[in-house]
Amino acid sequence: MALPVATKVGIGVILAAALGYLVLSDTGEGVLEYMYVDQLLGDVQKYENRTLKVHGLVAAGSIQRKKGTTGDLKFRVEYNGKTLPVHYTNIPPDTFQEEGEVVLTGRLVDGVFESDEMSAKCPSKYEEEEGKAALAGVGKGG
Amino acid sequence: MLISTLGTIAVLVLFLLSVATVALGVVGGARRSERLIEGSVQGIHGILGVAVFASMLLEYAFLSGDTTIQYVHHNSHPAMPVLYKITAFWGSLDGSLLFWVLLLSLFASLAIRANRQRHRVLIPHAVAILATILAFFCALLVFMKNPFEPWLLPDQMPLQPKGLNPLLQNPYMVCHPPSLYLGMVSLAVPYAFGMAALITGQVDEAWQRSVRRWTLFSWLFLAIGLVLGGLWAYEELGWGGYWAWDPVENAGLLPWLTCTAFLHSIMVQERRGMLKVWNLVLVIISFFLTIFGTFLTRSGVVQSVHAFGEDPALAWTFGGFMAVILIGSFGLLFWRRSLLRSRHELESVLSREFAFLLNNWMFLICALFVAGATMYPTITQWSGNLAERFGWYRETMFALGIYDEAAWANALLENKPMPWGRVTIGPAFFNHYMTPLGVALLLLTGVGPLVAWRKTSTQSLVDQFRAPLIAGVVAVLIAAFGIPLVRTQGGFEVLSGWGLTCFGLCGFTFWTIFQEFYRGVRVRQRNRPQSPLDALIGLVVRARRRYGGYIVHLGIVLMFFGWAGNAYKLERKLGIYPGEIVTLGDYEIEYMGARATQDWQKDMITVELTVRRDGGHSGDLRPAKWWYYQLPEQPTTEVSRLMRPGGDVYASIADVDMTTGWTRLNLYYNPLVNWVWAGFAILLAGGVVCLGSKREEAEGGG
Repeated sequence: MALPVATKVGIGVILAAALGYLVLSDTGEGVLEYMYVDQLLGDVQKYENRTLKVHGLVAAGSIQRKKGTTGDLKFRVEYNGKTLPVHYTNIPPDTFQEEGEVVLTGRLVDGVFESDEMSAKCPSKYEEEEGKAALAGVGKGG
Repeated sequence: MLISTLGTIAVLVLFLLSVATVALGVVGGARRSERLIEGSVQGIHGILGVAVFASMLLEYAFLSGDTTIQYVHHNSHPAMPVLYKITAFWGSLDGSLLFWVLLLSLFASLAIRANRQRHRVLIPHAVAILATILAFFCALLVFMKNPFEPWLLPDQMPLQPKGLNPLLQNPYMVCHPPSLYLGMVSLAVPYAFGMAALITGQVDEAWQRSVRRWTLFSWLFLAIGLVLGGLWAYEELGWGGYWAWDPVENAGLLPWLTCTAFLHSIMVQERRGMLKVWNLVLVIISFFLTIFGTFLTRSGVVQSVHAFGEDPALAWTFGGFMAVILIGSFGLLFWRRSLLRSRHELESVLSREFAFLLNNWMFLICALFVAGATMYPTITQWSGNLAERFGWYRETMFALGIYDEAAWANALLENKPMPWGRVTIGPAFFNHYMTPLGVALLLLTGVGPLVAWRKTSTQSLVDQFRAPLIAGVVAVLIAAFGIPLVRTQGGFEVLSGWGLTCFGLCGFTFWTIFQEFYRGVRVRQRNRPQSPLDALIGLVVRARRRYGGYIVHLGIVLMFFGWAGNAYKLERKLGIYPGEIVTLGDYEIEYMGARATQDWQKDMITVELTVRRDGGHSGDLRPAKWWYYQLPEQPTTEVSRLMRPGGDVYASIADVDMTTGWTRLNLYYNPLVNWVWAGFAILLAGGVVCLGSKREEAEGGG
């Protein structure tokens, strides 16, 4: 390029300053630790009361809705033989279901994972195997 | 013959035909044998024929409900509406790969047909490359994911499937995946021609002329796919937003970003013969990103709400293919580097060339950032796995201070999980970095078209920038003091730095576009007396690429205007009893009561809300929960919103207690959100105007 050196240096300085500003002003918001249920339960002391994401499968037959309500769920998620009780206080995604895969954001408090954010696998695949659905004790609420 | 058998044969023929076509193209190109080249062209058309046949077979299997085929059995239900039976074809992994092959063979066939006379030298090589890509996908179909796979034994067949999730029974969901596919797949064409240009050494502008409109086509369909996905999320999911930086959304955004960069930088090459290497790099990266995106979606490598499930074998196969693409393409580029010298050099920072260069850097930085942040969680996981397996890697990481040796030793001692942290990256992180990048791009959208090629004189700068700068300042003042977007209860206006910056730049950029149109119309009217409307139409038709581009920019400005509103977004989550009133900004929302009803398909609970502002009745909201009898354990969330130019009042329900009527609501106020959709419609219109331009029109506008 035929640009003067001073101009090139100037452009470089501006870009570096902008990048520096961005990195320094980053609060780390949005960056969370991520783990499976077994890892979380493998070191409860370490992870207790920390906001993090935990991944697992909703245990069959474990979803309890508060009587007469639609939300405010209690259920368990499992992974690799470990089971974590969850208290969930938000709209569950429409794809939330027993034996479904979920990733929960929240904190482990007194052995219960308090969460208000969940993502469940998007139903890119249509539902299979009716047998899974015929689960007792899962009311429709309301 | 059974459909499954016939289909399997068709898939096999597809694969063999692709391989044969590669061979014909390579040998024909090397020997310059017209007969072989013609054979390879026929091969491409033949692949299309077989792909159409195979796709029709699969559609037939769906429509006739042939559940002896596993794929049909998994993805279909006799009671499904016909439309969803048709779209079930690409609803899942195996079929989506066949759909990919169908589209790619269609595009390959069209592109080869259109260019077979004009760019004859490039043809055998372009054919060979397109057929190689086809062969890769066909190989996946044959060896790993045959959609025609039957049940081997009748008793393997499980119970009847339950049918389509109601969540996907939505027109957006019918259009969103295919438009993304159209955009992604069609990017193979520019790539093939770019590589053919490198192989033949014919790296002048010919290859670009043959692919410019293809790239524009891809770009448009990627945009349509992205926005439809956003609309679907906004109207169906109930979390009050439309974009969450999910890996699969990002997978669609990445090639769109590099495609946008390419559409700009080819103008520099056309006009000034610069950036030749760069354009090829962009074409390679764009194509690579479409394969990378498919890999992200299909392999389960990245955790995503959309992922099809983990499949290590597929991940490795895709990984290998991506490595081949990168090494092969950049190898070719390096080999031909001496042919790619610029005709001119950059003369001034105040030039259109430099503005385009900045624009390209910005888009590439955006793409790199999004790709990096999307892969970061996966990289941390891989790194953890490596650290567990290999001592030397662990030692290196300890030495670099990335992992803590003491923590590792401790975990080992106490038999606890290994301390190789794995992280996720959420929307807040993306927004933190992408907001300034987006704002900078908006600034460039305004500045670029105002500076001249080669060099801009100070006088012309003053002339060009005076009015837009004033417009920008006025826009900031209006946003800050004139019209409060969001007021708190006490009547105070909420202000946001990024919001104001964005409004100012919207005003600035809007004025630069207006100024271009205004001046063009005036010139035409001076040359020949005519009405301003006639002059405007004449202007756009005469220079479609240039003014189409401005229309696209106008759409972008409106979308940014909508995004700026996001800075003022309000969100409230709370539980209330009937008769209680909550405030959201200066709206008052009264909870009237909940109703339980049902129809033949579902049970419904509907919450009735009355919205008031300044004492006047603004409207009613009726968010609901529905339980389809078909899928009682998955209630659907029904969003309700009041659409206004100023913003949406948006409500969804988390929880209703039918005995007391207590409900927990999620309320959002999304200022200016509808401008995003309106801006997108304008962007589409501009894109269509550009697409209509004559191929040879060398007039390089903004």
